[in-house]
Amino acid sequence: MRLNWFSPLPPARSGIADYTARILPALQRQAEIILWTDQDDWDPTLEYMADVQRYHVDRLPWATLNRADLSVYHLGNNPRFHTAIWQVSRLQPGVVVLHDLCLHHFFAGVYRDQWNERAGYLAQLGRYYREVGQGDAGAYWSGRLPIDYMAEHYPLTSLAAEHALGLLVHTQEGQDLLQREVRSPVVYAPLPYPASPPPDRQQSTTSGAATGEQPCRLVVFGYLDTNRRLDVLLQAIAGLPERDQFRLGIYGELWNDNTILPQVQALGLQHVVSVHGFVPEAELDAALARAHLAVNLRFPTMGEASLSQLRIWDHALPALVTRVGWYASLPEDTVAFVRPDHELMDIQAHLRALLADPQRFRQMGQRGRRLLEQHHAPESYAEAVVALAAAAQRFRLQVTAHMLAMRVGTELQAWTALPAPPMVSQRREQRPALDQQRGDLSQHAAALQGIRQAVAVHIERLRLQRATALQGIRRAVEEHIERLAPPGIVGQHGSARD
Amino acid sequence: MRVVIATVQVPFVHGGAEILAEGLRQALWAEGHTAEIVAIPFKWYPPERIMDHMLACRLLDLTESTGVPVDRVIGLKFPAYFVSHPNKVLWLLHQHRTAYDLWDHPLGDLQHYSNGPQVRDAIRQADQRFLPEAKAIFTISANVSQRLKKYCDIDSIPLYHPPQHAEQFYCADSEEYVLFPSRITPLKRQNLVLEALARTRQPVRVHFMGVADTPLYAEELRTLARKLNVHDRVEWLGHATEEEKRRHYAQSLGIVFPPADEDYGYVTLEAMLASKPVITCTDSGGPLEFVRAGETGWLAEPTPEALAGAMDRVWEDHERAKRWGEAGYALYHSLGISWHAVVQRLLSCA
Repeated sequence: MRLNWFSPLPPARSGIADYTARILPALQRQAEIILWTDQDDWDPTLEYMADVQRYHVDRLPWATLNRADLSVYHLGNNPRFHTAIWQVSRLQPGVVVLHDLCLHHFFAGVYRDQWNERAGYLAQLGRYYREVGQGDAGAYWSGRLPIDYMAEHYPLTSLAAEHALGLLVHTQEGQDLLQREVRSPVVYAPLPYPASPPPDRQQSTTSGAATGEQPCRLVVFGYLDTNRRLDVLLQAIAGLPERDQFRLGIYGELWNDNTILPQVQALGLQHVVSVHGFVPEAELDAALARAHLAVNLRFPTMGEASLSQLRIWDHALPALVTRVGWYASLPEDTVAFVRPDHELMDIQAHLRALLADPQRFRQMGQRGRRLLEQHHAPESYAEAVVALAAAAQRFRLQVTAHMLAMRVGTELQAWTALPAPPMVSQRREQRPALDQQRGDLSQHAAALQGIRQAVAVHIERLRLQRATALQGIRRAVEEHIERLAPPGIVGQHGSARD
Repeated sequence: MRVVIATVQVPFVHGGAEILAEGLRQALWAEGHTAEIVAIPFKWYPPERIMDHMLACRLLDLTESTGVPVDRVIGLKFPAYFVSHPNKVLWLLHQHRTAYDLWDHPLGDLQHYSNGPQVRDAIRQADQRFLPEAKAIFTISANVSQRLKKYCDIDSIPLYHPPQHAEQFYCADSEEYVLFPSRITPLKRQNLVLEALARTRQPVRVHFMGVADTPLYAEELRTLARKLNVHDRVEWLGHATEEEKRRHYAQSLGIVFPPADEDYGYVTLEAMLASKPVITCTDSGGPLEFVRAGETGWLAEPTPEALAGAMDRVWEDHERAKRWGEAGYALYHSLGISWHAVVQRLLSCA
């Protein structure tokens, strides 16, 4: 099989670019991959592994693209890297890999920041979320609603999945959601990461965590947006009496230097926190190898599986993660959970625990490493991609027939002058609202069930109380009768009053 | 029998397919049957239009006409051969080649569309599903049968037929030109002959006889001829009547016909009937089933240099050209090609 692979490529600062580079060898063992990019430059070493083609959305070389059996499109939340990919996916359907389930940041970035197309943005929100969504879209556009609100309430997953011949997601939750939404094949495959040879990556037995030496090194890395909870982490460290026993290294791109750096100053953490920015991969690996704990919080989550977490496990490093989304599905003994509504408390508790029992955290990291080896192998992922592509090819025939049927239906509607019955696509558009209602009803049903159970418990309690009380009254009456009875008369219970 | 010949018609285009359909109709009448050509208009672009035509053909009812049953349907071309009939046979001119052998070919058009793969797959699926409905599948040449086998794994029987007015072709004293009789379209590769002409040692002259599918392509060829400085050795005869056509054949030194993987190639048989040698190319398909290299013509590699060499040889040895042309005539008559045989085969299978 020959696949066109539309993805950001290194050195683009994108986790998806890293992901493509890491799994390319495994993919090439399953299929012939042609990398397609709209970037001006890419890591030349990629060309040792695959043919790299540059494209422009306005001048797509269809004859070249059509030499492949199918195209695979990677969508994430950064419009800088995924706008062109999304545009091509709409022109020629293929397999779509959703790296995030909630893609509102992406679409807002496309329509508002790149295209300044208010009408298009409102129309899309109206299509999927009716008047309420469209109204909120207008409010967001004019600055009256924040992007996080829009992302939470209007994920626009369906817009990304529209027209796809097949969908691949990295969370079970994603598969469950999309299988209710779409007719195309949907596959869940754990996010892949090639585990490095164990001797290079195991936590050193002489590490500070194992021997209790100070300071305890914490690390945060990646694309550090507000959902990485860096501000809360700094507050948590600053609030600990043991703060000087920690050192926090921040690697990667900060969403806003003007917020974090002043916060470090204000909290007096200048000697605790070091901000490194983007560093070469080898330097980051070295920092991870020296670290005792990674902090990999996400709140809110965009429904992603975390490549960072896999890299952390590759180093057998323990990590703090937020108990939400994909992270919440991780085995309890492989990460340290932070509740989203108790962040400060939980972070501080874990940091203290790390000081008190570093061995427990070291073992946590090792279990994470084993999980990585067992469940995130690129080979399995590549097999899943090729199998999905084959299924998508077969599904394409259905799509073709469906489109022809739509055209025939449209034509016949004109003949009969009758209103057309709701077309499948209209029904599909109604599904999000129906699902929302179904979800609301499920919640009500669950609440009613809870009330029913509570009432049943209360009734049982009252019944027991009544039975006990009646028993007591009966005994008292019997005793009173016995006291009143003449001597020699045997009482009801067979006892003679002497 | 009442026979319907189901084919397609591209408006304003008249070529071998139309000649074949008409020849078959006349042959059926000559054998005592009643025959009618049902030609469905066909437009292949944008690609989704192909789907419309496929469905339209599938929805047609040719089982009877004016209350009288149609005894047999003979399907000739895509997508007309999708017509449903309980007594259908196919005599395939070709499948929709841009979905098959021309998919990844410079001259294929479907690959240049975003929905090209989608339509290609639908065509292939429909062929796989509906071609075997026929009682029997014949093709016009072994080349077409080989393609059908290669891409669809469907067996078929080549059934050759005579060109139009076969009995009226004749041979005359040759004049100083080589004839290229064909529709003017990229697949026939008139451009290759012009390139070859620029490389001949001899002052070879070529007469192009035929109408261009598009005026634009005709102009491109004229421009090319001027650019190669061979325009003074070229004549563009345009449309010719049947009589004019036979005369041009008769008076030529030989015929050059180097199409790209031609389905059948009336031109080759017409040349043989006119006792003229044929120059064709090793990848020309149908003509190769009839041209015997070194006996009835030349087989050249599809390059300007090789073609130029073959044209030089026909130019410089008229006697050999005459002998090889006569050998071609004898070969034709040894093959037993006749409309009678075609009608018998198409109507005899139940």
